[in-house]
Amino acid sequence: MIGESSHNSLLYLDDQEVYSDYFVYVAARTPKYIEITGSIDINAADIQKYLLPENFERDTTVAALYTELSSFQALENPFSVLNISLDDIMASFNEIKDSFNR
Amino acid sequence: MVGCTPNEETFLDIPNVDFNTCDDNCVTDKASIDVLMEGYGAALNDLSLEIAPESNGDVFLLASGETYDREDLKTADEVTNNFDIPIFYPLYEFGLILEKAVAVYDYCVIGEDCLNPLIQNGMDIIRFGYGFTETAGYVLYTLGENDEELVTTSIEFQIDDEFATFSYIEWYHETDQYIYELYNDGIYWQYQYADADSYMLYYIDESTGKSIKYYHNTPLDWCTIYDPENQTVYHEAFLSGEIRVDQFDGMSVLAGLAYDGETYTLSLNFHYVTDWNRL
Repeated sequence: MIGESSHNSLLYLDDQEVYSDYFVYVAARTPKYIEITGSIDINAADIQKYLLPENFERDTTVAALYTELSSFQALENPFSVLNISLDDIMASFNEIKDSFNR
Repeated sequence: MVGCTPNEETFLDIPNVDFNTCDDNCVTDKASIDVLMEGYGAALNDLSLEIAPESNGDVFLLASGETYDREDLKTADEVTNNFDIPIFYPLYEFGLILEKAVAVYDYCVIGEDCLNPLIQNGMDIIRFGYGFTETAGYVLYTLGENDEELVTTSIEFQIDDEFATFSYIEWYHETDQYIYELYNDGIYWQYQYADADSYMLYYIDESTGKSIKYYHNTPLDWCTIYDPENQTVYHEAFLSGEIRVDQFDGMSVLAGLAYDGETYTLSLNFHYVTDWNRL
């Protein structure tokens, strides 16, 4: 059921509440796409051994997400994931500004 | 060679686009332009449907306090309003820019002074011009006070059933603040610059989904980046240090992991979780 004052919700299998350890957020991104996101907080000490629910149908794992997150966190420049630098970004801003003043 | 080697080009380098918007066949009367605008709108709708083919049709509205069966929770349109992979956005923005063009030709007649009630802040339209064809158009106007030119706005575009390109420029002469947008060959750039502490970049490659949104407004700095090579969206809020990665399959998020410096938060797309049938 969708909550009265928020978009959190409970999930049921028939009349039995399930996945109650997840906070489930429901949102209509458009009238033709309803997001249903379940989230759960995990202590840092437990993150690498945490497993997704068996009933999650896709191949992603928490370990893979953790590795990706750690790699991203270690970057000095987040834009380097697309091989650009903050200098590249600022150079493009300046190039545009200079074009107005010509 | 440090200091002697020019920077390599990046995908942020903006091409020069000649819009060829107007020649002898341009129209400037309101009745004719209104008809052309309907054609642009229809073409824009066709192009948008190519990007988000499921965006039209029956709609489904959620209501608080209601119970829904799983099969009723739609997932047809993964594109519209997907700000993680925002390929819908350039054409949406094009529609907004066309509306800005309307605000000028609706009130300003070529050859006459323009008293546009939509212009705020005590400024006047000092100079303006516009012209449209079946597949292209431009609007150019400068606002000012007491004949001093302060803000110049330029809109140029081409559109037909198979192709669209546009540029939007808003330049504040005294301060060098600006908004610059270009959509060309399926790639969209938006640069907004107020000063060294406040600027924003939005880049979207429509064909791959590669995108960057970088918002710098000290201290609220953040970025969202989508790398199509590994189908991952990266988020970082620089002040708080909060980071998040979301793994995608196509346009659909699978799962994500966030870290706020103390706790990890795992999120799952419950459309991919079985053994529930109602919410």
